[in-house]
Amino acid sequence: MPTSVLPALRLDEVTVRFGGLVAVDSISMEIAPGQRWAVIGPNGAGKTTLFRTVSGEQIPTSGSVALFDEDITQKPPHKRAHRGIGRTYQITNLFLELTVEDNVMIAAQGLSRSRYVSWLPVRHKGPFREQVHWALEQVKLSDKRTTLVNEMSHGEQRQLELAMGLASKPRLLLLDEPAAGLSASERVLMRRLIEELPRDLTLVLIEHDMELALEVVEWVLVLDNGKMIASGPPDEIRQNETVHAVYLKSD
Amino acid sequence: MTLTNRAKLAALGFGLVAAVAAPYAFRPFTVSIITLALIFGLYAMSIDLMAGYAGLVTLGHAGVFATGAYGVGYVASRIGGATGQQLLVGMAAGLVVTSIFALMAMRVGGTYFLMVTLAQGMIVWGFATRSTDLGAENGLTGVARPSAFSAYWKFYYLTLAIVLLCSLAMWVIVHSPFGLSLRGLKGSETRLQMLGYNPALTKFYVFMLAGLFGTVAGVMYAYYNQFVSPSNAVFATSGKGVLMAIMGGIGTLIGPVVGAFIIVFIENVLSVHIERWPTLLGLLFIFTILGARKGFVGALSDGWYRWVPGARAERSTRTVSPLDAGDDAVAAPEVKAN
Ligand SMILES: Nc1ncnc2c1ncn2[C@@H]1O[C@H](COP(=O)(O)OP(=O)(O)OP(=O)(O)O)[C@@H](O)[C@H]1O
Ligand SMILES: [Mg+2]
Repeated sequence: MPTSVLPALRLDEVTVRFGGLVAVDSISMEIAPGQRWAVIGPNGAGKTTLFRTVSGEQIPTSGSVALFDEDITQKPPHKRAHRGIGRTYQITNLFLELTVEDNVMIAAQGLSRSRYVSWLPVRHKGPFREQVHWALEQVKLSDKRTTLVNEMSHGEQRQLELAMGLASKPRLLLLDEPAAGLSASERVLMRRLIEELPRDLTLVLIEHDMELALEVVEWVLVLDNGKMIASGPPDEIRQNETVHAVYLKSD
Repeated sequence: MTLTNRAKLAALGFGLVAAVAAPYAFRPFTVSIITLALIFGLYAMSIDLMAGYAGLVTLGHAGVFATGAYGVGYVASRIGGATGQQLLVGMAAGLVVTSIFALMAMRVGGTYFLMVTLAQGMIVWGFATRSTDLGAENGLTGVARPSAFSAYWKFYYLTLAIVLLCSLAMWVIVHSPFGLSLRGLKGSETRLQMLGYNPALTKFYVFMLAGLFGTVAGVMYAYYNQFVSPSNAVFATSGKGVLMAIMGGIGTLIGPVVGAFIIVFIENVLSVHIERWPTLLGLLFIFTILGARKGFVGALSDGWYRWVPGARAERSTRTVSPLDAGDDAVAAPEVKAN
């Protein structure tokens, strides 16, 4: 496993139990800054639950999570955001009644003190505005700035999901099935958007679709029933018998 | 300026002129009813800050409202303190109680928030009905309006000024970064938290702001009635505020004021002519929920965009940069191109 001196993310025997169900079973991993990883596996394998232990929405039953060597296992999501974690959702999770740019503005100002300022207008110039423009450009939604989110297509909403994760310029971005529910042509666009993300961003991608995942990452972790059944570069995973067996069984 | 903005400005101008002219045009009784509607308008706006903007429907805001009123009443009738003292105690009591309530409610959402706030209102009501210091069931009499404002029309202008000032403050709040994050809280708490916002802190803060304006309304109400009683804190008073906000148009600032006028007039004017006015109120409310979800103001704005030629293309959806001339100059050609 390629590691640098200071891993961007390190999981140490992370386990999550829901009653008798072991959703995540003693997972350890270490991601170097700037690396792109995929977590793949069949439905119910524990991918999202694993993400939630990193984002802070799920405190693991045991094990630890460290971001750039800082232990964040018990920290709530908003504190992790301030330490540089961003995340998108498998099931679109946006501010539906607001415009695209208002959505991204909430994301862009989220790490600054001014998010609690109530006596000044929302800044329409300056760094936040630039971040909004940049994030929307990244996901090719610049011309939809004033559109209401609930009036957008599912595909566009998925693009906005990505922008919401990007806008605060996180160090580690977790993408939970960014292509969920997309058509073939939309998947092509989404794949391009992911490939065009800044190179210094550490990326972990959950993807049900093995093909899409393996083409955009350097390292793959395969989960099944909460357990890691394989871990390696895409080429190795493609050849891996166990992985094939799991995927054949589930499809 | 767009047609819509001109229309809004015109309506605002007309409203202001009408408000200033009211004491000259109407009988004292009507002016007094308008005063009451303004006070409830402020109260309903403060509820809407939570319910309409942040998605936190409170069922106990009358507790805060009544605490402000009781603070004034207690100093006036039990201690005999001057107006300054009455105001100080009224505001302080309202804010202290608000902060306790806010701490209790800030970690819950949804139905739990309803239940917690409902209980809060009942605590104040229960305390008020039992406390002999507060006159128990009889309440506190002998609250006098500040001498400079004792005439009905002077009190009206005072109320108008205070309500306008508070509205302006709330307008600034809802257009601020914090105001935007309130709408985020309403949209998705999990997403908002993932973006770096502490949801409990956000709830605490908006609760305090709503409590501040709700207390001001309660203080004004004590002077309006010159009497404070447990009925100020009953659930019906909490519910009435929510009803006003919904009927007028939740998630807007003008809506709750419109709703307050509708309900206050039904209660105080139509009730003389129509015996079954509570039924009328109920029917009107059901009609709003079924037929005009966005309330009176929402229906008006939908109608405007739909039926007024020239307004259709202007449908403004943005909250971030309505003032941003630079952006609009760029965006305008895009709109025309369609
Ligand atoms: N909050 C919860 N309470 C109880 N069980 C849960 C909870 N969250 C997830 N699970 C269970 O944990 C297992 C793993 O779920 P998870 O959502 O992590 O899978 P996944 O790999 O993301 O699947 P998918 O590809 O369908 O998104 C599933 O069996 C699921 O039912
Ligand atoms: Mg999942």
